[in-house]
Parts: sequence; C-alpha cells; structure tokens
Amino acid sequence: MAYKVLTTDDSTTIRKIVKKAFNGYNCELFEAVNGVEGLALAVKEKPDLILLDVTMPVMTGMEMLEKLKAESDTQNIPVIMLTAESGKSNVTKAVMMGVKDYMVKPFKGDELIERVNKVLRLKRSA
Amino acid sequence: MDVNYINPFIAAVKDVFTTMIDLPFRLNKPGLKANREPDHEISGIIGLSGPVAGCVVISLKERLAIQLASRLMQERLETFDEDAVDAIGEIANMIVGNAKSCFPQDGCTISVPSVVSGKHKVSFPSTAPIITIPCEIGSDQFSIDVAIVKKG
Repeated sequence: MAYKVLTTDDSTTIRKIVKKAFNGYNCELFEAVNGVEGLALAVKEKPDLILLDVTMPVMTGMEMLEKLKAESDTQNIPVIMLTAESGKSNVTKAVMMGVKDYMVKPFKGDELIERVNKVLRLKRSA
Repeated sequence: MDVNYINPFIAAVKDVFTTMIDLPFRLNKPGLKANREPDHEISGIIGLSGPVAGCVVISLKERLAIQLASRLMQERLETFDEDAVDAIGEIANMIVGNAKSCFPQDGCTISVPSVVSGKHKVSFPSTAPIITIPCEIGSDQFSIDVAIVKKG
C-alpha cells in the first residue's frame, strides 16, 4: 500500500529535498506551496500524513493547521511540522493542536524518514 | 548589540552549513560593519518583527550562491536560476528561524525570504547597528549581516 504524503512548503528547495528523502519508499507525494493549496489538497486527497511548514505566504502553516483540526474530515490526518520556526510559542501551540511531531530545519533526509516512520510504516518499494 | 542576539546566528550558521550544505567553512569574528552596503551581488534577506525587529542579510557572490544551492538541493545547478534563488532564500530562512529561537525572549516573527541579485542596496533599519559575521568557504567569502534592535 502506498501512503499519500502531502508536503506544504513555499520553498521549492525543501519540497525537492523531501521528495528525494522519500524516494524508494511506498509513498505517493503531493505538494502545496501555501496553506490554501495545502488545505484544498488535504480535503481532496485525504493524505496519510502532512508535512507542514509555518512561515508561508497567503496562509501560514499554523492557520492551515487550525483549519485542518476544525474540520471533521481532516482533523485526524497526522501532521508533522517541518519548519525553521522553532520558537517556544510556536512549538507549544502546534503540540497543543495535536501535531504528531515538530521537526526543525535544518534536517537530513534520513532523519525525516526516521520521524515519519513513527507515524507511518514505511517500506522500501520493490 | 548584546552578544545574546549575535551568538545565536553564529550557532545557526554552523548548524545549517553542517547539516545541509556539508562543505568545510570558516566563521570569523563578528564586528561592526563599516558601511551599510551589501558586500556582494546577491542578498538573501529576512525581516524580523516583534520584541526584536530589523533584518538579516546573507550576502554572497553568484558563484558561491550557485555552489551552496547545488549542495542544498543535491543537484548540479549551472546558473543562478529560480531554484538557486529559492535555495538562498531557504538558507537565510533556516539561519534566522533557528537563531531567533535562541533569543532571550520569545515572540519574534520572521518574514518570508526575499532574494535580490545584481547591483542593489539594502535598506537596513536606520537605528540599528549592523553586525557582520564574516564567513569563508574555500577562497570564497560571504557574510551574514545582522541589523536588529530590541524594542521596549
């Protein structure tokens, strides 16, 4: 079974690094560049996991998280924050809102996979 | 400027370059910048607001910017294209995002990055001294210019 993973980050660089990290695993990657796009894709695709940045134009990650948690059909989608924003207030707020993990950039691809593995059972594709 | 607001940038630069760029680099002693012009033709700029406000600029030559972007993206870039622009913005974002989490007080927010290339000026806040952190990768130099003030 392929997991659906949605990366919501305004940086092409981060989306590419995430995509490379998941290369060879049983995942189908979806990408959004801000909270509005991320929310629309979350509703449409019902991903198994969302990797979410905080600082983004149009709609921030925290705003998207609030909206995800407010809707019954998206509130149970696991979210891992993946952001350079590591201030205490952000981390506390995100954890209170039920995120599975809070990962601070910079990061290595294998570290990301390790954290994701605590939420999904990743397998190497044949 | 209080070292408690400069040391976090030194630690963040080390962290970002060690974790995601993986090139040998050297940080030199920070000092007061003698002029208010960027040192090189490319600037990655992040604004800060809240209890500490101002801006932080990573200033570098195009050749080095392409090299750093290539390392970060794990692919060979030949020109300073959209991908390289995004990578330099993301490096600035990670440095400032990390540094602010080590400030003595919480509550600062950072802007999305802007990247400027070619002959340009940066409007640093007029009331803020600019502390420059000189860095080297091989024979290439770049700098992190920090112009922030504590409010209240």
